[in-house]
Formats: sequence, C-alpha cells, structure tokens
Amino acid sequence: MNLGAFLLRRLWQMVPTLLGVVLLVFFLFNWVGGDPAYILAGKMANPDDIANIRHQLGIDRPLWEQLLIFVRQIVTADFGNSWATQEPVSAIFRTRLEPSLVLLIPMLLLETAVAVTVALAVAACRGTILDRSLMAASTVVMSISLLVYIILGQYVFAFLLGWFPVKGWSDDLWRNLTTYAVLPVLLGLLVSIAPSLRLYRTFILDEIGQDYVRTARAKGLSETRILLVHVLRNAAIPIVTNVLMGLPALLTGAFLLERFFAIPGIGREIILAVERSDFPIIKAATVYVAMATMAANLLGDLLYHWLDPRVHLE
Amino acid sequence: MLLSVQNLQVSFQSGQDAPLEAVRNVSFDLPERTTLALVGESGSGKSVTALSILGLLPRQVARVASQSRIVWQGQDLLQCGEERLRAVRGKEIAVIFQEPMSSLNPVFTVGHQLTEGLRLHLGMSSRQARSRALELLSEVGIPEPGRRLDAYPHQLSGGQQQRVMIAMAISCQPKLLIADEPTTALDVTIQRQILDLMRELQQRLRMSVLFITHDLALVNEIASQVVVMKQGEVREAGTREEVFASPKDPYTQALLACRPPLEGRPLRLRVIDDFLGGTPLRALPERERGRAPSDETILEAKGLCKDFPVREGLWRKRLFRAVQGVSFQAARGKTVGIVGESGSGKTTLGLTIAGLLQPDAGEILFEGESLRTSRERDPMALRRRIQIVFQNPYASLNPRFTVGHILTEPLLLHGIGRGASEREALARQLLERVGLPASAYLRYPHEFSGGQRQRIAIARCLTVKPQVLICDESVSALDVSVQAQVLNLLQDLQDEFRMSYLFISHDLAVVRYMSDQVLVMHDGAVVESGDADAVFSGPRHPYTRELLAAIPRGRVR
Amino acid sequence: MNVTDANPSPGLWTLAWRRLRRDRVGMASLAVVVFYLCVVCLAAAGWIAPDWTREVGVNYAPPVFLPGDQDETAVPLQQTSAVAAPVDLYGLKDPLARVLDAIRAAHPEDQSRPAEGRRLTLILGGDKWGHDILTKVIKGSETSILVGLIAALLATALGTVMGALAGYFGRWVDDFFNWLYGVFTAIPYLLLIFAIAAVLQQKGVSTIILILGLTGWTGVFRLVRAEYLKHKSREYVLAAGAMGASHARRMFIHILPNTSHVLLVQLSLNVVGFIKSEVILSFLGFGVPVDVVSWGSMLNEAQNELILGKWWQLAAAGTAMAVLVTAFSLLTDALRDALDPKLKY
Repeated sequence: MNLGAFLLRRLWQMVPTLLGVVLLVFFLFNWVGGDPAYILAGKMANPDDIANIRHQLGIDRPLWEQLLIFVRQIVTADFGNSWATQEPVSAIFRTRLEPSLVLLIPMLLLETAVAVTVALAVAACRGTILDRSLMAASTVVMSISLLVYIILGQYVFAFLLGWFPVKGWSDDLWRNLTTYAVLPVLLGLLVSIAPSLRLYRTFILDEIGQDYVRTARAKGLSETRILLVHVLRNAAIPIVTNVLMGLPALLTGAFLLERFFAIPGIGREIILAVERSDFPIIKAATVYVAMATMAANLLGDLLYHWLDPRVHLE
Repeated sequence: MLLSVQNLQVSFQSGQDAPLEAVRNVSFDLPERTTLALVGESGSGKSVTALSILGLLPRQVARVASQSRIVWQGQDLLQCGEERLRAVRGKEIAVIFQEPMSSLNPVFTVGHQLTEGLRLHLGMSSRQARSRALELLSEVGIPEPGRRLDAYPHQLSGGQQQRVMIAMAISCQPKLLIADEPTTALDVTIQRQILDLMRELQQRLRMSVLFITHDLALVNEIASQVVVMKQGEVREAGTREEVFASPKDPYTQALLACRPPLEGRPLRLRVIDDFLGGTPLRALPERERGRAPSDETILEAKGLCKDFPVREGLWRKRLFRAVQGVSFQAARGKTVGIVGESGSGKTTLGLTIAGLLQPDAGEILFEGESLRTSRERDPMALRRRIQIVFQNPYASLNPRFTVGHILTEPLLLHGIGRGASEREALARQLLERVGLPASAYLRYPHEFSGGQRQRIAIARCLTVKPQVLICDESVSALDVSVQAQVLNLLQDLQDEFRMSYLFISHDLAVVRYMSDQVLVMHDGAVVESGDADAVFSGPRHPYTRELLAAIPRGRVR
Repeated sequence: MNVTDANPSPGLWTLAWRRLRRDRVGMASLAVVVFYLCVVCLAAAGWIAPDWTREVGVNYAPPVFLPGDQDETAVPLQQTSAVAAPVDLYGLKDPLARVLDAIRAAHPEDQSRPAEGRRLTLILGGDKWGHDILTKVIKGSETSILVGLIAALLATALGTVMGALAGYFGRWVDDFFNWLYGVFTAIPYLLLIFAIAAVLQQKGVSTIILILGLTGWTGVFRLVRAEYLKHKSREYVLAAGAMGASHARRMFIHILPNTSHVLLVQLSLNVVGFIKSEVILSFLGFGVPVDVVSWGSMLNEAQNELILGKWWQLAAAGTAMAVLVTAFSLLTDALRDALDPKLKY
C-alpha cells in the first residue's frame, strides 16, 4: 500500500482519539471544575459581576453550546485572552515555543547520542563488572529527584562557583544556547539519560540473543561489525520509535527546568497558568500538546515502517 | 583426517547453580568428503557438540574442559585465537541452522547477507560479490534469482529461506558444512527437496557434512557415518550399515524400533524399556485397521467451512477460507486420521469440531443430532462428549495449578463426584491409569517431562469420559522414544473406553499407524479420503502421492 | 487424603522466593523497603513522630553532629525574605505565608516568645521555625509513601481489569478501551495531572491519590492487555474452554495468576513513579495541603534555606527519598529476575 493511503487511514483513525481528548478536557473544565466565574471575579465578587463574567465566558448557556464554543476555539486556534495577563493565548504560545525548543532539541540529541553509545558499549561487555556497576549507578542516579539535582546544581555551579548564570534568558539564540541553556540541559540529561540507557541496553541485548547474530558469527564477521551493523540496525527500530514517542513527554519534563531557570518557555507558562487558575492557557496547552503527541506517534509509526521491512504499510 | 573431535566436554554455568554437564567425553573423526550424522533426542548434546566446533556457544555460560581437542586439519580450534577462528568460520567451515526465518537478519536483503561473507573472506568487490551471489542463488535452485537478491527474508517461503542459508554457507566453498537440524522446521515435501539439494552439493563441491538430526530415517538417506548420542555421551558410532543393520547399543536398537513402521502395524510400538530388560523380544501380532460396514457412525461433518477475516487494501476486509467444505464420518471406537502440511487447515478443523471455533457453513452431527441444537439444549453435556489434546505439552497445562487442581477442575465444573475427597480419589485413579505415580497429584506441571505432561493432558480429558477425543498433533512435540509410549497409551485407552479419535498430524507414519480411515488435507480442502491402508498403499490424488514419496524411508529390517 | 505421598512440590511463588533470597542486592533492597513501611505504619499509628508542627528547636537549629560554632542559629524570620533567592518566585503566591498563617493560628502562644525553652541543636537539625526535621522526614515519608502505594494499587487494579477485558474479549470491547488508552496517553502524564490539579480547587491527600490513580493506569493496561492477548489462545486456556469453564473463570482463575509477575513489577514501578509525581506536585504547591508535610513540600522549603547555607532539610528529604526509591527500583529489578517466566519450565 502506498504512503498516501497509509497516512489517510492513520489520520482517520486519529479522529476519535482527538474527539476523546476534546471531550475529556471539556468535561474536566466545564463540569468537574465547577464555576470558573468565581475564580475570575476574585473574592470581592458581587452577583452582577459574576453574571456578567458567566455571560462573557458563555457558561450560562447549555453544555452542548459550550462544547461547540470549545470546538470552535480549537479549530480557529483562538482561545481568547489569558485571564491573568490579558495577552492573547495564541501569542503566548507563539512566543514561548522558541525557548522551549532551544532547551529541548539539544537535550534530545545529546540524550539519544550518549545513551545509544553507552548502551552499545555496555552491551558489548555485558555481564562484566563494568556493566553491572554502570547499571547499578544508573539506578541510583535515576532515584534521586530531579528537584534535588536542580536545587543543588543551581546552588553549587551557578550561585557558589559562578560557572553559569543563575537564571535568565536573552533574545539572542546563540547566547541562549551557549550560556543560559547549558546548565539546565546538563541537569536535565543527568535525569533522562539513565532510564534511556537501561531501555536501549535491553533492546540491544534482546537483539544480541537472536539467531541471526549466531549466523553472522558463523560467517566469520568480527564482533564489532556484528554489533554495529547487524545488531544496531535491528535495535534502531525500537530506539527510534521510543525517541519519537518520548518527544512530548520531554516537553513536560522541561517544566521544572524552565521554572527554576526562568526560561520563558511553554512549560513555565503552564505552571504559571495552573498557579493562577488561568484556564484558557491550560485548555489550549492540553489540546495542542495532545495533537503534537499524536503527530509524533504518527511520525514514529512512519519511521517504524520505513526501518522495518517486515511491516507493510497497512 | 579433516576434523577430529577428542574428549569434548562442555558444561553450562548459569548463576550460582551447579554447572550442567551438556557433553561428556565425546570423540569422533570426520574424514574428507564424507557425511557424518550426529543423532540423538532432545538433551543429547548433539547441537552443543556441533556449535562448540566453531566456538559458537554463548561465551558467558559455556565452559569447554581443558583436555578437550577439536583438531581441524591439524590445528586445535580450541587453542587458536579469535582472529584465526573468524578466518575459519564461513570460509573453511560453514553452518546452517534449524530455523531459517530467525537465522537470517530480517532487516537486510538476501543479497546483502550473501555478499557479506564473499567480501570478507574472498576480498571481492561489491559488484563481483553481487554477480557471485546471483550464481549461488541459482545454484541452490531459487527461481528468479535476480529478483530474489533484493528481497527481504520474510518475503521468501520457509524452503527458500533455507536455500538462501545454504547458498550463504557454500559461498566460500567450505570444506565442511555443519547442518544443525536443517529440515526439522520444514514440511515433509520441502524437506525432501532440501535433502536432495544438500546431497547434490556435497558431491559437487566435495565437502564433508556434519548432519545433526533427531530423525534416524533421515540419517539412513544421507549419511555414511553415524554417531548416536544420548544425554551428552556417545552411545554408538560406526558406518551407516553397521548401525542400522546390527545396532549394538540397546538405546540405538530402541530408537530404530520405536518409530511406527511404514509397512505392517504391530499391536504395540516398542519402547526403550523393552530393550533394557535383556529378555529376547517376541514378535508382536499385527493389528487390523479399517472401518467395517457394521460400525456405527458417532460423529459426522457435513460441508464444514471456516473463514478468517484478513485486512486488505485501505478499508476492506477479505475472508480467508481456512477450511472449505470438509465432510467425513467417524465411527465409534475407531480413528480418523487427518494429515496435511502446515497451512492445510487441519488444526482449524480440529478446533471447530471441538467447539472452540464456530463453523461458518456446514454442520457437525453427534449421534445424528446437530451440535448447534444440542449446544443450545445443554452446553455442558456437549463438553463431556468431545474433548481435545493439544500439541504443545508445555503450554497446555496451567503452570500455576497443581496436577490435582488441573484434574479436579473439570470434575467440579461438571458436578462429577460427591465432595472433594471423592474427586481426589477419581483424579488419582486417572493418574495411575495414564501411567503416572499418584504422588504427581500434588506437584506442579513444571516438574514433569514433555511426555508426562501429555499424559496429564490426556488424563484431564478422561475426567469427563468423552466419546470423541481429538488429538491435535498430540505427539509431534515429543521425542520418538516418548512418542511411542504415548501412542501405546492412546491405543490402550481406545481399546478400553471405545473412544473415537480424530488424529491430526503432519507425520504420515504416525497417522498411518493410528488410523482406520484417513483424510488428506491440502489448502483447507480434503483431497483424498478412505480407509488408511487403501490410501497409503494406493494413493489416487497426485498430492497424496507427493506426500508419500517424500517420507524418508530409513528403516532397514 | 493419602499422607504418605503428600510431599507437595514447591509452587512457582515458592521457587521465585527462593531465587529472590539468593539475590543479595534484592534482599537488601527488600529490607530497606520493609524498614520504610514499618516506619510509615508506626507513624500512621501515632507511635512515633506524633506532631511535626511543634517548634522544638530554635530557628534553623543545626544538626547535632555539626561542629558547634554555629552561633547565628536564630536568624530572625524577617531576614530570610530579604535575601535574594536565585530561584524564580515570579508569580508565586508565597507558600510560606500560608504556612505561617496556619501555624500562627494553631499556636497563638508561640508568637510572643519565639526562642524560649527550645533546643539549640536537633538530631537532623531544624527548619525555619524550629520544627524537628527528623519528625518532618518521618511524617513526610508517611505521606509520600502512602500516596504512592495507594495510588499505585488503584492504578494497577484499574489497568488490570480494563486490560483483562480488552485483551480477552477483543472486538468492540478492545476498541473501546484502546480508544480510552489513546485519549489518556495523547496528553503527557504530568500535563494531565497539572490540568486536573488546576481544576480541582480543594486540595487533600485523597485528591492526589485519586488524580494519580485515575490517570496512571495506562502502563498496566497496555501490558496486561498484551498478556491476555497472548494467553487467551494458549492451549491451557483453550483446554479450560473445551472443559466448559466460563469466561470469568478463564479470565481470572486461569489467566490472571499467569500475569501476576507483570502485575507485581508494574505495581512496584508505579509506586516509584507516583512517589516522584507526588513530590513534584507538592513541591509546586499543587499537591498536599499546607498542614500536611511531604518530601515535596520539604524540598520546596529547602530550596530557600539552601541560600542561607541551611542545607540539612534538603539533605534529609532528598536522602530519605533517594534511598527508598533506589531500594524500590533495585527490588523491582530483582523481582523481575526472580519472577521471569522463562525460568519457570
């Protein structure tokens, strides 16, 4: 089957999921959450103000009409203004995207490169002391909270030693990459490499146990060639899929980094929105991040089919 | 001498457990241009022996004792370094394995895998290697080799995959080819083709072949030297004529005698214990098979069809007909054998008759009444009439249940026996009936061997006293010596309880031995049916003839 | 019953336990986890660490093991806010103010005589108000571990039931639960929790447990569904069906025990994951209410104290959490090895 038909089919399959996400978010904010007018009006609200706000938000109308409004907001990408700052929601996301990406892309690339390299090395000497101690170390590193790393790292390397700026961001991409993003990226890597390393190691070990490795060995190939050509090419299938599917989760992993280092990205904006009960921002973020996740999954699927000749596009 | 294995001793060490001795003191010599067969059942150490020649055993767990020698053209392969070993692998000694599908790398094309060895060992350029690969593919009889060169392994059939493996093995014209159960995973007609190919190549390329197999009949066709192994030790070695005509070791004698013969039908099959007793064996009377006109029909299938949906194209689903229009009659107390290769629909037919799948067309009559109506009346009564024994003894018993629990559960479900103690007594009786000690009652399935587990599965069926027992490849996963014991048990039970059997198998000799009537299935349909002796001695359909011609006829009497 | 041949063989659980007992790392981790659980039980019963809100030491009382030249122990409260924190407090409602209000309301007598009758040092030191950090760590462990355990039990139970139904029945049941799974996994986990936390105005320990439990079932669901798909066509289940065993019997009596190794490992992974999530939520102030202490709220206080060189609360909460999570993770690995079904046959 050709690529176009495959894409069409997958996009069609996404419709119910997307509908589900919309319903979930709608249900959460318009039914579970109670009346947001009281939040907006603040403590000193009088009934007139509340009625006025309710009318402006459309929550005095029946639920199905509210759902229609919500769907229209999603389709037109117009969620109105932030309740806290009155800035248009779309503008907030547009301006906050770049800092998030400046943080995330280097983190993703470094994490994948380091984790795959170390996993290959560890798999080559599986069962030895080096392997076991590295795995034990990664368990310990994984177990310490990201919070502790950030608090300590910021205090020691930025505050006491002054190697990096304590926090901040600039308008210059290069300066951001080389100065402001360095410490957050390193601290983020500290936490994210260990689980990936363990996962990729099991992927590689699974492949090493396969019969075709024995065949390759029987052909007289060297261990290095077997590992780098035969094994890696097969292990790349789950690894690539895993990296892509983990993309959106990485976005949220940057919540804390962005908050501590005052990086004006999407994660920090979401935390602020939760603190201020700024519903339009949270709603928009949830729906759009969900869409991004689905897109990443689709991309992962495509790559999977491209990498694995056994699976036909279906 | 091309290869000389001396005092080979291999043990496996995993974790803190005591080391497991897999091979003890194995010695044999393999001259040039000879085929030597290493024969043994599972756990005999035959594959371990073969793999240790090239150092292909997992290094973390396998230990080769220091006094062992594997002398290849005057050089001890156990002593030489990794570098030298790699130069021998693939160039001087090549290997093919049992599962061609998993032995080929799924993500590289056939051409890529074929040329890899050529470029490494013979230093060919990629263009030279490609044209040589093309030659090799046509040499092993793959049609349209140019197109197949760019195919991925999964796009080839099992037989073609094994041909690719053979092409890869002979690509550098090795002096020795190690073949580790190369035809076990293949259908009998494909096995025939691969054997013919290997014999032809062995003569043309002047190689020696080390042929590892569990199947003595194959050995007689292909080997000139035979080594019989059991539990890590060599039990008998000699030329083919010596071993087959006058076996000295009782184990070899038993192995030769326990396969069902293709001519004649003794009342019982020989088992190993018969040969260990030391008393001379008496000739056994023959058993008469075939359906008499007076036999009453107990089960009848009329035009049975079973479809499975297959996704096709963007949105559409197509129906794949796995069983098409199968009709037969089974007589009380007699056996209907169902033979066919993989994909012939024989297992689907068995599951449909057992009521585990619903037929999409046709009907099944039990004592003249449609199963559909009798199921509506009393679903549990139907379960008591038809039972099924599956193929895999390792998957058919719940590993979390004790044997007692496994046997008393059906009694409980069907309300047989008053109270727990009576049910336990019944279960213990059944255990004894199938030849297991009563102490098995409290044990878990993982402590039993494959043959014992199959006995437990049979006992589970007997709890409800079925009138029809479906045996779906029930002895196929067992070693031949155990196979004979289980077949004898099934025969005894049929004589005792007058059960009707539907005996499903790919193994023609076993089906012939067990059956009164036979159905030959091919692509979901019955191509030939009739009394067993009539079908086997005078096959009318070309497919049946092909099947029968493919059986290895290794028995020398 | 015949007693003479009644030597019951070890079941699979017994064999797994024997394998686990030979694993020294696994047993050590198990001991640590059991120790924590004992502490949690004792604290929950009120036998130890009864009242963490008592101000038993001076402000920022140092730990007893520090050299005694810590003479500036009693730092006035006003000074702390004057120090420029390196962290971004922009937009935060000062959580300390709320804590302070609550404490002042609870202990009106303390405000008049701040440093009277209090100890100069405490075993693990004291915090800004002189609360005993050892007591706080114990109470914090109680909160974090209880939240993690109960939420993990809830999530595992939910995931198991849904996965069993989906995998066993297939067809539209499977389609429905797969759709639900798709919806819940489309939204990144933390974002979903944040959204729910934003909507739910009243905070409480049970709220967090519900949030974590109702959103965290997806991993268990995926694995249990796969197990059921695999097992439902296994021959022992077919044989049970051929014997007339009902669907419920096949699902829960035959298949469920055979997936227990997956469940146990997932449960244990979930406990670790939920403890980490709770700590982040509480740190950000979306988690436990102010009158409850957890590792997360301790870390929150500790980040400001660190600037003043008062590192002991950070060390105490961070270490307590790291030790438990490490032990739990190592135990999970050991369990995985001991329960590996490949070793069963």
